[in-house]
Amino acid sequence: MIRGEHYSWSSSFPLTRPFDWIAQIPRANQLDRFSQAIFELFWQVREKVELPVEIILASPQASNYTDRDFAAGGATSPSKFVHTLPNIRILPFAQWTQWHGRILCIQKDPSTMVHGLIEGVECCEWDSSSGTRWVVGSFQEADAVDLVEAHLWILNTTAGSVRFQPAKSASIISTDQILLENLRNKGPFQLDLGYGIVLNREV
Amino acid sequence: MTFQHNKINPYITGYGCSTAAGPTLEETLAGLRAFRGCFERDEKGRRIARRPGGTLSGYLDEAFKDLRSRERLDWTQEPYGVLFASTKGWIEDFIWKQDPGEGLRTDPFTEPFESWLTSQGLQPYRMLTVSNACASGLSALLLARRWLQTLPIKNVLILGADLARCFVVEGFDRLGALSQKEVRPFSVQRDGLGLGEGAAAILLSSEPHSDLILEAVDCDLQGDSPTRPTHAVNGLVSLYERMMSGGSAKPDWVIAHATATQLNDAVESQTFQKLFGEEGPRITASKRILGHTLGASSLIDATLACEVLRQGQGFPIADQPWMEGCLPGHLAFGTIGVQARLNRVLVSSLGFGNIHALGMFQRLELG
Repeated sequence: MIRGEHYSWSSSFPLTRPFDWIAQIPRANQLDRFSQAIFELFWQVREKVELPVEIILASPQASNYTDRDFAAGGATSPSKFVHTLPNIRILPFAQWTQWHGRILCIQKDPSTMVHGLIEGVECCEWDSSSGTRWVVGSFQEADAVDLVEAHLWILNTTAGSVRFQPAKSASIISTDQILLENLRNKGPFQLDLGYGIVLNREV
Repeated sequence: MTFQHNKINPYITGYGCSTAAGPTLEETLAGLRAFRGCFERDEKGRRIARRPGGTLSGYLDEAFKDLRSRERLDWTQEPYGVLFASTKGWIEDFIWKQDPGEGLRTDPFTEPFESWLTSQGLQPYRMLTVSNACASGLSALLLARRWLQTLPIKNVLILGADLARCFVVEGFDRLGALSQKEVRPFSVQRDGLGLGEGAAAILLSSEPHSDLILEAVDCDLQGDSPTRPTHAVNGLVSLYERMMSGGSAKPDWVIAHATATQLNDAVESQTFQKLFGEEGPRITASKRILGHTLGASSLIDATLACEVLRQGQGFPIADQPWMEGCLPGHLAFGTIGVQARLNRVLVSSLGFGNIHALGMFQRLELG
């Protein structure tokens, strides 16, 4: 059985005050809000998390909103163009921690984050000896244009308030929307993610 | 850091591609060997390697058809996986619209790719997109190999495709990365890359239906700059050493990423010098003719590696040697080093965000 922790962060943009870490990341002012959200979440939990051997980056909507910013600005900004690749979002974390390791940026809307978890759990089960895996993603609430959310899952085999258990049978794949609704309710829940994996959150 | 990354070596039971040089791997390889440039100029005079009227689905159709002409088994009768490797997918379909609407709410890969799968009668057990920048193709092969070890499937189809249309062309132009003259990988006179379009398809199987295997593959992030491959020499060297820790032999031939930008080619030159010294394998590259096909590029190079192994004949990087360049004595020009018995080909790939990937393709000596 795989256990883990889940952390999240959300805020409207633009922010009313700058991030505490802004001076510590090169060209931080050029980061898009999705990269900022992921790094802010990491910054808040940095002292209690083990660095991973592998990161699965699973951001719903890929980099669509940053792509739109680039296109709407006449496709003239090189710094905006750089962020039109969803894998770039993890770079501030790698810059600050000097982390290096395996990374997979995956997409499968409307279940991108769910699939990130499924891949992460299966990978931990298959190769439990090598260390912690992270599943990370950030996105914009479609109906709240300025609200950006970031989520971080720390997956390992020993401890944590979330458990991933085998399901009796494979079922329909859950959507990110259902996963997020359960997470926002704060209470305990059980959710069949799909492919024979059930997510349990204890409180 | 230790990974169980080389538990099995999947068999390559089918492969094919479609590029600016033609709708098949055979035509692509012929174009490379004939030094037949595929670049045309767009309305702003930028050189792009593409075929008129090409669409993402069209390139995928052709690459998949090419694979099916060469595949060794009927793999669709049992559950299989499908991976799509791409940087921007079908983004051009909605991003320029005044109101992109629903287009923004869902990634630009999944829905159109699932429609394409349906058009081909394919119903995979699992499908995902891997978008690891320009290292997407090899990264997808890494995930495919893991799937063969963890999922109840025996085959994974990996497809990669990207277009060079307004979005990426404008972006690379603004970065100052596009060549103004001629794409000259590893030349001291290189001045940038030429974008290209295409698709590739590879079928990996856990069952021994081929003499070609994916001997090793891995990807890594190491560095601290979005576009500059900082620390990439050390990153590529350590990735190669990690990948080869299972005891693989050195490659006979290398298909380098070789975008012809100053930074990329400098990193690869230093890496290959460090890994192989003066007596290293022949090094070639496809982007001078095919352009840089972004997320599809390393998968196209993987199909070229397979065919080069099967034919026992490589392809040169250019017809005439560059006057001055990196890697003296290593690059394959004209007919030098092109015909040789080959057992292993290494494909390298570097992407924005300091992602890099390597894949080793091997032809087995069958008794």
